[in-house]
Amino acid sequence: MTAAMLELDNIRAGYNDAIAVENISLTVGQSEVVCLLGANGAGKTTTMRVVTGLIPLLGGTIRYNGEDISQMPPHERVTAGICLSPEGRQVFPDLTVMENLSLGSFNRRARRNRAQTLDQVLTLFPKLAERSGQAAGLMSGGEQQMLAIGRALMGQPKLLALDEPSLGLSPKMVSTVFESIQTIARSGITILLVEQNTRAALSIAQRGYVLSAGRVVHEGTAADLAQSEMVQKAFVGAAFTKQSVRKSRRERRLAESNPGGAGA
Amino acid sequence: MASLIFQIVVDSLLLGGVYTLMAVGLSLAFGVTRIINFAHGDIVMYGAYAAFFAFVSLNIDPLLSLLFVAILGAIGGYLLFKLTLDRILDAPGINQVLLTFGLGLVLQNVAVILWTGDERSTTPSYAFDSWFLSDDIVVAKGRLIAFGLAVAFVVLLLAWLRWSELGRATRAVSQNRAAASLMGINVRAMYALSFGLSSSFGTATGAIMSFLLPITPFMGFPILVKAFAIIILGGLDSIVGTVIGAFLLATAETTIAYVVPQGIGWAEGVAFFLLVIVLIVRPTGILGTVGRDA
Repeated sequence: MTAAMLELDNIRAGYNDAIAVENISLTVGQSEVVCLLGANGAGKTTTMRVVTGLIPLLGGTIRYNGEDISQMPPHERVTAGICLSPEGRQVFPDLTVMENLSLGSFNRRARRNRAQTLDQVLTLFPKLAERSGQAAGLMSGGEQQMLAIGRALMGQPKLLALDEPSLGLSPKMVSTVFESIQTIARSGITILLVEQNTRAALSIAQRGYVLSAGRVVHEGTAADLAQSEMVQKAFVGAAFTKQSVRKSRRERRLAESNPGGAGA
Repeated sequence: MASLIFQIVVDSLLLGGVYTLMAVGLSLAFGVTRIINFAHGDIVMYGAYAAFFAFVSLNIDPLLSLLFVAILGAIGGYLLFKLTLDRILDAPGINQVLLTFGLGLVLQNVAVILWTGDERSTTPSYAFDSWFLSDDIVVAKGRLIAFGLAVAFVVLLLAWLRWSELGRATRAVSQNRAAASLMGINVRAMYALSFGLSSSFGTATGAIMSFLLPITPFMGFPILVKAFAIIILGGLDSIVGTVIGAFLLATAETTIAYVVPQGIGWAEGVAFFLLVIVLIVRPTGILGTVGRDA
């Protein structure tokens, strides 16, 4: 692994009195694509919010390129190069597509290269060029997702954080979006990806962490995770392949025919 | 009859201009911070006093001092925000309401101590001038100036919001503050900026009111009440809605004052009658988004 760009060291965070993630440690290397996997409520989105500074860190440290950014306000993290495409897209609904993209490059560092970055983003998502004058809130979910990613790219990220880019999209749109993410990754931008669609995530990530109930329960290379029982057990839904369902039925039958026997 | 209708239209337009001035700053600050500034009327009052003293001691016309009064208002509003509201942004909404309400009381009573409760006014020549469009249609020159300035202010504000970097950021914060901070926008700084801008509109409005209304430490409250009704009519966070609300209220008040016998007394109640109707028929206001998703 190359030098760590992002390091979370035993972080703890939550909302009001409820702790949502505890003792999470992870690293993301330069130009790496790392995914966080886990079921609903596992703490993936909370982790993303802590990394981008949207919610306060209650314990542990976050280092970015070696610098402690634990207390840095969110807008300064953007200027430092951490840009998030948030869960649920969060585009500015009454603003046009072009205005949304321009806002993406509000930070001083990216503003200088706005025209150039815009060209790159519109090449990646030609659909956004077609819709440039339209109010963002009137676009389809897939188009809004492209806008959310495009808007984050406008900030010229060094670390691009993508939270559930496939949420609510048609299967065809999911593959379109993931192809774009792959293209972004190839351009050398480091990506931290949160996904419920495990298969799609592992197809583009090099490494991954599996979260459950606010803790890291497993980590490894994408290839290892794809094979892992642990990963499949950590979820319901999208991750359940037909094979694993068949297998678990067999396990259940075995367990029923052999009560008290050694479990899995 | 025709001239009566024409006079009603003229008076409605002119009053609408005055109302727009009163409400637009309140709407701007609320749109960004989601805090109703109950001290806004008192900020208008300070603008009126500033213009008054510029007029009587320095002999500067209110329309000229307006620029300086607006700048002072911007600085004052920014500092007021930094010193007070900025500290309780994470507190429950009721605390913020109480704070701005309390600030209003303090501002009002400081004015009483400094300048007594006596009524004053600036008396530039145009304050008493009128034009006769025909034998029986009158245009008050002071109000016409106020109308012109209201139009100019709103156009400038809308252009700034539409095309400037900070204006775009202001709209972004208004729509989604978390997403705005993800754009690298310092949301708290934008709050302070919008508050300063709002106060600047407030004090500029005061300078204009200095030749339209009697200046007293208590002039702020009725202005606040009207402005509050107008922005609820218009939808709280929409500048265009605020303008529509202002002209709607002005038209309703003027019409009732002319048409209904003893109507001038009734006209004062129109704001609240309209408010109740709008809240029943269209709870988000005419163009508003607040509570749209709730």
